[in-house]
Amino acid sequence: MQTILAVALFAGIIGYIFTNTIDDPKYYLILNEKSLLLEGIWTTLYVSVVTLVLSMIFGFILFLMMDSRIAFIKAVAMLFKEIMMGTPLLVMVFLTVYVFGPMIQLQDKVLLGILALTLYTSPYLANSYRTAVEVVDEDQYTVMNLYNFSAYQKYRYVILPQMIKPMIPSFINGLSSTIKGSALLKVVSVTEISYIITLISQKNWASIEGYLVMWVAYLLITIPLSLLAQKIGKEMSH
Amino acid sequence: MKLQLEKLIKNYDKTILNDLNLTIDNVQAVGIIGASGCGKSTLLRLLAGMEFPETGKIRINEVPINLKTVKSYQENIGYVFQKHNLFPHLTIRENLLLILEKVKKMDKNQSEKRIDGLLTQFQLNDQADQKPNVVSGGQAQRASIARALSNNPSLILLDEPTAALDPILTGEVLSSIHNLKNLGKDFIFVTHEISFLRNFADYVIFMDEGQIIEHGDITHIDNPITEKLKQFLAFETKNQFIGE
Repeated sequence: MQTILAVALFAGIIGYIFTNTIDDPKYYLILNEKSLLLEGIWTTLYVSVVTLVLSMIFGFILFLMMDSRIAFIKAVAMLFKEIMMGTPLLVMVFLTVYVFGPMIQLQDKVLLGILALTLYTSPYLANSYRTAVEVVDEDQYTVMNLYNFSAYQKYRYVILPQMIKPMIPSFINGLSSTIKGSALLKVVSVTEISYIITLISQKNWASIEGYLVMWVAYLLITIPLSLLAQKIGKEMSH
Repeated sequence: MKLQLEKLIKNYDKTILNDLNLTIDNVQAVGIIGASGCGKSTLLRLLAGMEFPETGKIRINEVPINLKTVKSYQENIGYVFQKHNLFPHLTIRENLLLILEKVKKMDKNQSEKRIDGLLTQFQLNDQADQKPNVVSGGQAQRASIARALSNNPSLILLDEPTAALDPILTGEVLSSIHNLKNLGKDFIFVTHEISFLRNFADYVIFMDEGQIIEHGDITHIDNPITEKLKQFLAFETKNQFIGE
């Protein structure tokens, strides 16, 4: 009951903002373009999910490199992490599309966008892997060494399965920030949701309506995903 | 079993084992006793090849334990820790199966058959599909003994296997260990349980401050020579009495 009340409170606030921000709002001008909007949502989801999966893999490789016994590999990983974490996403998108893209002869804007977002998100996930691996205590390593587990066997059967649960909140955050971060891909004309809405609203002279619809569109994507991830997390902990 | 230690020295921040020399032959169960911090658990870890000495040699049944031989040597030993050290995300059965089937690459059916036998032997059938954190401390420690036996080792090392248990569970675990003596395996164990030592060991090593002070067959604990061993036995017997 109290949860419903809380939901109603926020629905009320959002409703108020929608009806009172401007006189005579014309949301229908934007909402009428259903197929374009769906295309935008699809691109946003596709880019974000692919980015998350790639970031999970690349972040894990980065985490392994950061823990490497070879000083050079460790230093490369640490420097890469620091540089990426200090670079704004907007700059990363430009660098990827106009510098790295031509270098590797890749022109597909969506793929380059995914690459930029992956480079940006991976170091954060690598840090989370580092925290998550601490759930495996020293005694377990002693047992694995005594029974001569190979490095693969250690990760496959003991370390990774125990890391998944503490990683779930980081994956949720990763997905959520990727979805929001993908909005920046509009500057290089990737047809994700914010690009599409900006396009429609400019055509119809309805910029404010456009931003408000964009806001709700993002909430409609991120909130169900977050709830789903929390549900999975709960089920896994049982 | 034949056990030889030669000029064995091990240091951490300070000297833990200080020039241990020993040769014993034709023993099945060797008990190592001594006050906390005397170096007995360190010696056991060296005997398991989990660590290596600064200088000196260890030979078990004429086989030296060093970096070259340790992997094949460890294939043939079982080790029971003070805590059960089972993997917390796996059930008791999965913990045992992981070692045999995935790590030792034993055939699936054969592994399952052997694990089922061990679970029955240690009366763990009802707990087999539960995770270590939901079974009792005694059951978890019995499972870890079953794990130590799973690869059919000829030597079993036990490092105070009841240290983390209350007196009732201690009795339960010790009786499980006691039943192993007829399996024809060799044992080296560290313990504070003098009555268990008396019943189970046929040879005793007493250590103090990183050195072997006395050693001899088990009747030795009834006729201690040094004042240190006399004091140690008096202290432990009194403690045990209070514990009971």
